[in-house]
Amino acid sequence: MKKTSIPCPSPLTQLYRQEVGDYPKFFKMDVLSRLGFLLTERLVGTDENRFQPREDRAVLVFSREGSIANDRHYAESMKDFPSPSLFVYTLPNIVAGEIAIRNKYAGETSAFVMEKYDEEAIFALVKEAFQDPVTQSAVVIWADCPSDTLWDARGWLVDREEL
Amino acid sequence: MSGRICISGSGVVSAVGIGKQESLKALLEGRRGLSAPRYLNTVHKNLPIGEVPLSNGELKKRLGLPENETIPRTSLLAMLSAREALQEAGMPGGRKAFISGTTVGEMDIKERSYLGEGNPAEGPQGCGSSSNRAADYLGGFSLVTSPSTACSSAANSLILGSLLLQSGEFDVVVAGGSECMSRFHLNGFHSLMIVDPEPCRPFDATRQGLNLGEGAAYLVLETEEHALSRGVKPLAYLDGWGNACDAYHQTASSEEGEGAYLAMTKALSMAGLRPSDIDYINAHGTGTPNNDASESRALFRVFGEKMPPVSSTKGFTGHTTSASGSIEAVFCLLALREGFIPGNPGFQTPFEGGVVPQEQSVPAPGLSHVLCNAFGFGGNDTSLILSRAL
Repeated sequence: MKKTSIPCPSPLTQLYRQEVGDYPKFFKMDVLSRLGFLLTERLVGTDENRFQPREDRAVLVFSREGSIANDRHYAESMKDFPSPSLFVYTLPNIVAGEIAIRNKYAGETSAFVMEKYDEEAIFALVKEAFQDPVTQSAVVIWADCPSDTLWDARGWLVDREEL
Repeated sequence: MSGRICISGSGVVSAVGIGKQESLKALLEGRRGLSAPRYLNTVHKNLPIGEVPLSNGELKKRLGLPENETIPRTSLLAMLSAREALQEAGMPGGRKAFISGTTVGEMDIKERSYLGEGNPAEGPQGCGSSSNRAADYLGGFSLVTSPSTACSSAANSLILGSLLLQSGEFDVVVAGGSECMSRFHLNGFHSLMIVDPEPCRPFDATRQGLNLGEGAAYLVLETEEHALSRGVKPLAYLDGWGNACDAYHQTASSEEGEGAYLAMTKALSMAGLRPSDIDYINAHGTGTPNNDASESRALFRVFGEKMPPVSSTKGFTGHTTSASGSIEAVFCLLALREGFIPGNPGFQTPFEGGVVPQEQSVPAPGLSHVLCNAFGFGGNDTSLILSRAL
């Protein structure tokens, strides 16, 4: 099982430039999506045939606060004019979509909100995802991001055999 | 995997009614629930929306809750419909989980504090807190969780609930979703320019977008074995499900409807059914130009020219976002049990490449298998198959 994390604080755009560099959509993303994106790049960056479309990899994201950091920015924009580009990221599952779009994953994607970081509960839900016979591996993200400058971000790449 | 999943109770609230009986009547009579905002305090006075026709005060009264307590509307709608479902199921005991999809959560309260209108003490409690509040009211759940995958949340709750039952960890799962209207998401959908200023027209050539709606619905799920052991006859079965990612765009669907196609084919294969076994499709059918074109393409890829009757019931309820998957699953259950195909209000003229939906509700005794689609932003696409209990 591969594991990674992004300490807080970290310069995310600098990390993007050092570790990725070829996906300018990164700059449109909110902090939650940036964290999920960067974690996933580290987990799957060395995959063979990486951008071949595949259905056998699930993307499961977990957090406590969902998209609240960006929700606040969007709510602020409502005082003037609601911003469509901010509204897009007011959904906690958009990060799963961003990861799937980048990597051409057409498998299961899911997002869960839970009361606190609980590795046992997270992996119980990961195990459920493997009940689907199609799923062979999963990108698992815990990205909790109460504000743009405060987060807890960890990622795992889990193979079916490892559970 | 083991244990066929059955439905032993259901409950629903939406703009077309409180409970299954009112909903059924509205669907059969073709009565739409869309109107100008009555309860939502919004500047968009002319946008049609689908509000549940009760104020928060009236909802609390029905639930026997104190008038002065601040409770998210999402929780109130959840309590009312989950209570109906549990009562129909005979108030089952055992190890129970409450799986409640939502995205708006308690935003109706939160946004007041964001906009400087409310008491700051009513500030953020977390997206899942509205589910916890409802679960506390209903009582007896050892697990409460809130899948939040935008407009497929409630459908995914039904999948998660079924998996939890098959894992043997729980005896009974109450699964579905709840979503109330908020300025936050009405403004957001409006800013994406996908809200129709007129009543929505899913699958019509002149469609311009969706109308938002609110509501909640829950199914009581258990294994068939468990239901029979406590002397309860299944109302229907949840025999197939599929979730797939469109992996195309955050808020738009791909031209080929790849995610929708994969979700439907997965559900069929799991249920061991052929496309020709499906007797009715409750489409996601939001009324946006993009969704209806993409979903039509996916439907033709799966069903070819032998298309079963299709309809979108969003012309009745509006698009109830995170609750739509379970609200429409309850409509599918009603269709199976009462023998009718719900109509697709708002449709007049087909578009090129579009499915031609069932316009009016019509009697259709003996439906065996129905398919229900719910697709969400993030490309999160889910299909469910409900089968008749003999």
